[in-house]
Amino acid sequence: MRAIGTWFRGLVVSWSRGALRSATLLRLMELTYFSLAIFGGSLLAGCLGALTGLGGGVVIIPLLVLVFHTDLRYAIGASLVAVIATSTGSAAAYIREGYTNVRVAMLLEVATTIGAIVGALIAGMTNKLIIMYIFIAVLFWSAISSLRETKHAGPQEAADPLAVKLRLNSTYPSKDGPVPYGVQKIPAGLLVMFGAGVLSALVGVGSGVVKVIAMDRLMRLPFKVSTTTSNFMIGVTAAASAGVYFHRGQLDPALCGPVALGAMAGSWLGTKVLVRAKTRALRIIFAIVVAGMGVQLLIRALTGKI
Amino acid sequence: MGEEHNGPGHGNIPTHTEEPGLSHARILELRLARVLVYGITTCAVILLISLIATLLRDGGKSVSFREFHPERSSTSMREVLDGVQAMEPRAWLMLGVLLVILTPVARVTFSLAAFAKERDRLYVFITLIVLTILAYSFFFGKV
Repeated sequence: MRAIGTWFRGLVVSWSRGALRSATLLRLMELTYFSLAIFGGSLLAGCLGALTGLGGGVVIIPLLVLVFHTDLRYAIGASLVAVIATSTGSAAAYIREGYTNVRVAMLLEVATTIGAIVGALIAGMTNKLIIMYIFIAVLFWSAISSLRETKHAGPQEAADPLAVKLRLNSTYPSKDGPVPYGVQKIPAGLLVMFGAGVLSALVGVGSGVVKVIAMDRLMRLPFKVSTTTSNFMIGVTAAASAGVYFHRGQLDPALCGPVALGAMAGSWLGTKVLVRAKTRALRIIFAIVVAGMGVQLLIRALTGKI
Repeated sequence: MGEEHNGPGHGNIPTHTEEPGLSHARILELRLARVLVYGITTCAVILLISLIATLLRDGGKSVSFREFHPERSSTSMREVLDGVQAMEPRAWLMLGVLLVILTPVARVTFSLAAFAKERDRLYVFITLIVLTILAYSFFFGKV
């Protein structure tokens, strides 16, 4: 009994010592604590990313920069890996539900991947602080746009002849059987998607905000179709820029490994909740988290601590 | 309900098995979903085992990513594969990370095969463009 007591006390002491060290020395900590903490944080980010369809990036980067004092270039590389893991991890479940429109995804990926290569090239020539300010802008934009009500496409207007030609119109499942929908404004959608690709590569996020907006507002896809199709495309876009970042040494296994594992576990949890979750409540949670981190990063950037 | 479910082109039935009544496109989609599950599970297993191996060896060492040191991480496939052959935990961890990055590429490749099987020339062409861009980033990414 006493042996257990001593062992337990030893455990508490060593744990609290470890926790104290983690709290004060997060910038230089033991690999085991570091990995576990990063895994936990990425799990949360992956869950939120899958739930909102916006990818884990907008949460992973502030987490790495603010809590783990990681250089922005490492954070961007790790975030891209998380974004891909989240996308692949949840895509399978989404396809089974029947919301994802693979044709729309593939067509738009032409634009996003070209954008991603361009973005990665620009990132190589751009000052770190500028990239940070762009990222902060993306954070606030994500927060605001997730609060705004999206107008639902509702009954279709005249079908876009281009969508018919490209066979993009499809149906999504509902309680009353498949509901048909049409796709609008394809050239405008492609243009916005190119921009989404550039942004994704430049700041290491999935650019889900841009993608969902393009698909909700411009192309008029139903909300769950645009969310899941966007989540699906995000991985392909991020893979295009991750290739470039790998060659630049921005992907470190000790950072990307736990981040990828956490994001996978999180996105798996996230997709389990999706079908029942209320999208409104999700958006509010997302907005609060993201805006809070945006403020913190802005303070850091302005005080020259980035 | 009923009659629309088995009609061609209305393949979006939320089901987990490949029933004979499903449209061709839907069957392909479900197969793609299964490929993605296998792929990501393989990645997770490799990542988990190599992360544990890395921590058993280097768990007590201090790490810092405060400054960017591009020379510390491997930057070529060859470097990673050499380390993998030498059973280097860090290289295996990196292999897991690279496999995660390649899952979307595998998905695009699969879609290419699926569209080809459907004789959907337009989408075979579109998918080939995407695949070429991805290959460019992985092979000529050093810019």
